[in-house]
Amino acid sequence: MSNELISKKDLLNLTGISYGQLYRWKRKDLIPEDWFIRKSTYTGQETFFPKAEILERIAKIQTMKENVSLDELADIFSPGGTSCKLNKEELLATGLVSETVIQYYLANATVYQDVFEFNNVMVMYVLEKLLQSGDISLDEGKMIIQLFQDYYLAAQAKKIVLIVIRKMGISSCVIAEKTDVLQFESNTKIVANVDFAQISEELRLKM
Amino acid sequence: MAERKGNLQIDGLSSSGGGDFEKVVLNGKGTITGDVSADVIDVNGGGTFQGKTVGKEISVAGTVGFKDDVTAEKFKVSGTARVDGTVTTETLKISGHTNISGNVKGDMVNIDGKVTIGGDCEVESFDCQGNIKIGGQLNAEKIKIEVLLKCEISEIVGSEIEVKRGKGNVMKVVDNIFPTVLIADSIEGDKIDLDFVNAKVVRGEDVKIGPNCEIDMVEYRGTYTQDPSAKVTATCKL
Repeated sequence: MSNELISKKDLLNLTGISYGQLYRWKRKDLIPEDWFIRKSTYTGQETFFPKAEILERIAKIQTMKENVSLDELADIFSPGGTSCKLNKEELLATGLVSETVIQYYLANATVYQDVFEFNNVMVMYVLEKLLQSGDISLDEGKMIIQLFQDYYLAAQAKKIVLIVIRKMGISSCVIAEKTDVLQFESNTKIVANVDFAQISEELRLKM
Repeated sequence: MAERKGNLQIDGLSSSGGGDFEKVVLNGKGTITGDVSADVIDVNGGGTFQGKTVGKEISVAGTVGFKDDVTAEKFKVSGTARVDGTVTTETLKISGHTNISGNVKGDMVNIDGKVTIGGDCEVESFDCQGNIKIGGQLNAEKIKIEVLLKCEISEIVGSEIEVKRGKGNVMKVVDNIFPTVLIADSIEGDKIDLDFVNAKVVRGEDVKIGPNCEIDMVEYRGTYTQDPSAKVTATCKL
């Protein structure tokens, strides 16, 4: 993630949006509160933003707001789960998760569910990606399912990353806050690093 | 058939543990020790809500203390209220004196009196005639403030921002004794029209500075007008 910041003045100039739009989107939770970084400058306090993230987000909002209401956009970008619930057939119809992964998830999740909530879909979607790409093995997939069994994902999805590590053939996985600095011992291979904020957004856009 | 909820009424000096009701009425001095939710919460006299308070319509006429968060569709205070938590409401109407320690989030705020908000205030429309202090950011689509005495707001951002002195003959008398001014660190908006404002920075698209302003720095992108009597240290066209 780039650490480059952009000032509010420059952001408005660059994107052509107004103060009203920027803060309307903040009120609607389309732009996270923690992207508004206040810093002291020679003219007093100024607000800065993480450049790459805010430019990408504004571009998305500008593209999508023609067809989707701000409230619907808020559902896509804001933290927390959606109220969406899908049964197996509906989930298969979205094409986001294969039947193999659904069966695999159901076989390894300790709680059987007839209807999948957004949380479950998010974990299956991640498994689908990681298994398809060959980044993780089926056993590592079980570990991930187990890890998310006890973790309430929805409320935290905007802030967390899943990291799968391997050393000398032994695997492990952790859930950490995006801002945490994790230091692994030498020769530890990071097999996967999944940003749930991106996954959550990606999934909501596709569902 | 939906189960009908009961009512809670406290007359005189008494307390209740809270719960889920259709209507809660406090006449006298009542205390609710736990979380309470109701379609209508009506307080006449004194009351203390020690837990979270959730209501469709909350109306206070008297003196009330909310020790935790308040969530309501309509929250009306005609008297004195103190909220130690946050307020989330579609409509907040205050005629009197209210002190909110946390944030205010909602749709429409209408103030006629004296209000202190410790955190941020994020609403669509903010209309205030009176004395206001906001420790954090006031963020609203439309902001209209008629200042009474010394008001302080750390940061104001919005689409349309208008600050004027309160109307009425009484203001002229008050002006002679206590200064009328809104003090802010920064004011940013698309259309800004200010008078009786002391601010470090004003940034906007179209900015109008009235005669009774003292501003360190004005930055504008569109139009700028300044009354000759206004004290502006520096201006900059962006």
